[in-house]
Amino acid sequence: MEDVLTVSGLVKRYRRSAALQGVTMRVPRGAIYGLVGKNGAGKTTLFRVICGLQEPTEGEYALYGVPCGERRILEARKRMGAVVETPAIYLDMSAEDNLKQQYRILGLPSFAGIRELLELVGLSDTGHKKAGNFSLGMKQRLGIAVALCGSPDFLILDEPTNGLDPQGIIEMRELILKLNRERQITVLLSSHILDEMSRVATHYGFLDQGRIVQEIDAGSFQGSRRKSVALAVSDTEAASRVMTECGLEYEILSGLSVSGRGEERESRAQGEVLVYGEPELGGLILALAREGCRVHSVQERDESLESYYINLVGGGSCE
Amino acid sequence: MSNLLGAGFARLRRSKCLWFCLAFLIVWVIVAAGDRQMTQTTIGKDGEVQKQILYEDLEKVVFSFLPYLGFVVAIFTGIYMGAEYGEGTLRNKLIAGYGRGTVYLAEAVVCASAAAILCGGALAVGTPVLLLMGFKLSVSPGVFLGMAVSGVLSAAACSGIALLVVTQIQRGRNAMAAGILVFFLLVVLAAWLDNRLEEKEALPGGWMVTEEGEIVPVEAAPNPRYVADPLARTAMELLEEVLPVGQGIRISNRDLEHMERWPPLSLAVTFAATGAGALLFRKKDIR
Repeated sequence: MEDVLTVSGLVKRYRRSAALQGVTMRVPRGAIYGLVGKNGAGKTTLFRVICGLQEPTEGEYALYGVPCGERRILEARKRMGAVVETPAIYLDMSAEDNLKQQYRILGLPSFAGIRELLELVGLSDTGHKKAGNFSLGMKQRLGIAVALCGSPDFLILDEPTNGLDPQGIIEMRELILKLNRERQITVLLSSHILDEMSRVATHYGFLDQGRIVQEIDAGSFQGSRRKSVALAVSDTEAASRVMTECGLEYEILSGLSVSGRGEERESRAQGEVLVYGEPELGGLILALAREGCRVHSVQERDESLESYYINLVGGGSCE
Repeated sequence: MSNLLGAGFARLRRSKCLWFCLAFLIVWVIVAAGDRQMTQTTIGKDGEVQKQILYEDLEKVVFSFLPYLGFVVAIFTGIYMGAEYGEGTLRNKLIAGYGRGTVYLAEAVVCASAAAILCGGALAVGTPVLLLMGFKLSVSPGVFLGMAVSGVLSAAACSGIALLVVTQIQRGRNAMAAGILVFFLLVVLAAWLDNRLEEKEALPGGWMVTEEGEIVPVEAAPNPRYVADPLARTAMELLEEVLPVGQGIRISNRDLEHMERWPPLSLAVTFAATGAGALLFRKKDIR
């Protein structure tokens, strides 16, 4: 599979800090590549460098096989669209006028296709309303429409679900999948909603402290992530004791304090415990029962992307 | 490049800021006109009251905004480019595959055109209005046209300087503030140069009243503020003429000596500022 983007040993240093410290990655054609990293891991800086907004200090990248040092990179860049950090739109213009402006910038011969683009992103009924009066979700969608002017085959989306409500997040997911499947657009995106990313991405790159610590495709990720069992229990403290005694790797997902009945007025916490691996459930449930902890439900689960990432980079909140 | 210019001019046409600034300059000219016409009342021997309106020369009124045009240009450039940076639309041009130099040059042409529209528009509207009000030219139409061309080109030079300053600062308000500050310094420098060059060679003699109430004659004395050194004087004159604000002061004062060299000087300043700006922009990290 041909790579749309290859990055090799990319370093970006600012006066006081290094945002990228040797990033190496490749985005195959047709992929939805999810870039996962904490705040400050270097995701936006990487996007800025790839988009030509900032020069790399060291290393190089190639778009469609054209190295960044060559003049031809400008031609290669015409095949891409991007929304980096915030949607790049004129707030004093309507959605249609914003697209017309981008058409002029690209030198497209006519404004044909603008209506279709507005319909694609769900902004066809905004009329003369100024983009400054749009909701955050509408601005995001307009930013994507602007990036789609000129029919790019590579799209970079930096946190496209930022600030969106649940409905907006679902619509954004559907839009990304539609662009990838129906228009064969390769997408490189970052999102701090990892659950959401795991629903669309075909490839993942895990970025930590300016370095890609792992690249993996969705198939391999499915195979490599650990199995787990979620137990809904009546007493998480007791469950914790039992898990520790049994030498199991576990995680308390939630705990809710409730009062006991009758003479036993002590405080207990019911909640959910995630046990990694494939524990012997019969023995585990009996051991919990001996400690007075009831098991309400048992559910088999795959390890989440967030948990996988935290396990990979070693703790800290993932964003 | 032509695509960027097309997009830039399309945006300029819709720019409320441009038309507001132009309206401000036209109002300035009209207010200045109202301020500089006086009604002289004379009473004849037969007691007849005659009223006569005295007008200042048209060119002195219509060019009165030129020394301060830099501020208006800095405000416009700050808002225009501030939006490009702040709303991130500058990124669209770079991502679309245009080189840094091309993007900067296109912005420079659009901003210079806006500055020319501001100056030219104010003159084009202000002059016929003043003629209708009864103001008259004291210079030939050819000289007036020369003054207008110099004014428009000095406005373009102001725009080159403003763009150079504004593009170094990516935050819109800070950029506009920096632009205004730079032009404030340029106005102060140009005014100081103009004052020094206008100093008389000698302080005139006269009469002085002593503490005792005695009136004594005072002899004429050399003026210590007069720039006598020919080299220093030439350098100061040239510096004042190089500064677009300095040209504005000279035009509004109708001090038109060396006017023929102002247009090429303005063009040189415009090209130098644009070249320097393009060089700095080439290495600038865009957010």
